[in-house]
Amino acid sequence: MEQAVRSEATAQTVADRVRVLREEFADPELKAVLSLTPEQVARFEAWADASMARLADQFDVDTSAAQKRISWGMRIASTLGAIAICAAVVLFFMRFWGYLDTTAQVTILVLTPLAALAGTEYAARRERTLYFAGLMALVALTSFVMNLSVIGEIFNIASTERALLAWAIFALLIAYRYGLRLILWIGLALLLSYCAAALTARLGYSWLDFGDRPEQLAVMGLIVFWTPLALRHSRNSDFPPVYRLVGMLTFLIAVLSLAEWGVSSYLPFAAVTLERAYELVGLAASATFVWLGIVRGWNSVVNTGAIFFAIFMFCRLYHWLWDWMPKYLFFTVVGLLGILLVVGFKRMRGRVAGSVA
Amino acid sequence: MKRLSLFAAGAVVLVADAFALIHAARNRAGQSDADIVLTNQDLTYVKDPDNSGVTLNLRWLSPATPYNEAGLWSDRQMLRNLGFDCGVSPSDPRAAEFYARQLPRTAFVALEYNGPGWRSLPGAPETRLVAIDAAPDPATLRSRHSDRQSVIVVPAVFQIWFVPALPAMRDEPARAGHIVGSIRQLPSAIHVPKPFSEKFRGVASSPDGIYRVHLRYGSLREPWVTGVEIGPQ
Repeated sequence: MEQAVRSEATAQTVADRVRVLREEFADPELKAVLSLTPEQVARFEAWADASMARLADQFDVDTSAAQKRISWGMRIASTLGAIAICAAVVLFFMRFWGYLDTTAQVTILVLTPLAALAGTEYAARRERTLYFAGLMALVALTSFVMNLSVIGEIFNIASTERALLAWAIFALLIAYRYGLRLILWIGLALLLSYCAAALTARLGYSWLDFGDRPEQLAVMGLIVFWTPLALRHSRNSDFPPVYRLVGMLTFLIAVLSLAEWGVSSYLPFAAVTLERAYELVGLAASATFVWLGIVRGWNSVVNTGAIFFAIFMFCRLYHWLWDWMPKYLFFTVVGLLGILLVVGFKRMRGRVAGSVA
Repeated sequence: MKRLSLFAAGAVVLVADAFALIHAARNRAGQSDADIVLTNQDLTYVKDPDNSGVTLNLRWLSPATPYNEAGLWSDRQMLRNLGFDCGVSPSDPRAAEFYARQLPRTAFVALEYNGPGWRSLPGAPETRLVAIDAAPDPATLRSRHSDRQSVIVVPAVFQIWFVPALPAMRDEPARAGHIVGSIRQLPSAIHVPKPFSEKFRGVASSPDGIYRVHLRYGSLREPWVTGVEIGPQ
């Protein structure tokens, strides 16, 4: 079990399984069924204690449910703290930078992200849970964003999409180095934005309007979704779900916006036709994601697919029924449809359980 | 090898900053594209207690209005030159959707200071900076407007609009549907570095402050401040 543990995510999963196994073995009903001898129980307890101790020592995992709840609280607190510190750094700089000459301004701007990067490395070496390293990494990324933005402001440089690429590469490098999923999220979002913005600028449009042609984002979202198949993550095994979620959200939100605003499509068809077509694409894609998630065991893909299926279905019903149907009847129809879906999913679940048995 | 990604992240910061600084140096090297003096009526200043930096904002006017069918920005050839597709007639039922689908385009605009363009505007507007011409490349604009002390060429984002036909109303005649271009955006914020920013410490926010600012536009059409005079001339 432990030979495959190479990341904190895997270690936490193993620790959770050992904890649950322990709790199950303490159940009187199971005890009566298994009838383990005192020696066997003692060997199991010794093995469980040793495994938990090894995992806690190597990866600092949570070994109890109470610890897990506290860890969640720590993650939320460190994220909020990081955001507050980032805001403080930016506002502090803006408050005092006007009193410095250009050379001093540029020097501080260049050194700040490098110092935050050094702080991230120091924090990562001192503390295995990486809460403080995650906080410093966010500060480093914010400092780098501030760095290029303010240098652009100082020299009145016309805005360009190339800064997005620099920020994306920086974010991805520190995400992979320290195994930080939040920074990976941000890095992927920046990379998607850069690719769409660069294509928009190459076509002669303002790069800031890259969101006004969602099809390019939809295609890029699918590429990101499937990237983990080409890019193996033996070290950061908790990264592929992030790729899938970022890619999926990008694709589905792009399709949703085209389903509501067909005018923004590259395709030379009437807007109404495009909106209907993308509604169908959205429904089919959401259902496909749900099926794929079930087959592959990707929980987040199933949940996100189900949510968007409901959204697309609601949009379709709204376009069909809202104008001519009384409002109370409209919501009754939506509610009945929801109940039908629950019944359908229940039957599907029963069939899946039956096939497993 | 263990610290490769760490050094790479640091290198990204240094390389990106180097690119930005080299870009700024290239803009300021060689012959400048324009040297112009603007006043407090053309450059607004707003004090911000949370921001000690001094930033001025360019004020400019465009002579076009949505209903100015014969104005500068209604020239279909100019709109085509800027990259817009004007292939559908404004009288076509598909026109509204066709033109709504076109994204804004990047190009360059010529802003003239205190020239015939401003004098032709009704009501003598406060700012004397008026957009008078547009082209996809700056060299074309500069060849048409060679006065580097009264015309600045800056990058801009242009948008195309479809204006639907209007029936006759009271004193207004009926208007046919037509297409018109407008400037959606151009770089208006201009940072004032030290020591010039020190002079603004005692200046009130617009419209009360009185000042003249010497601006130079470099070869990449990006400006920088070369002088500031506070108070009436």
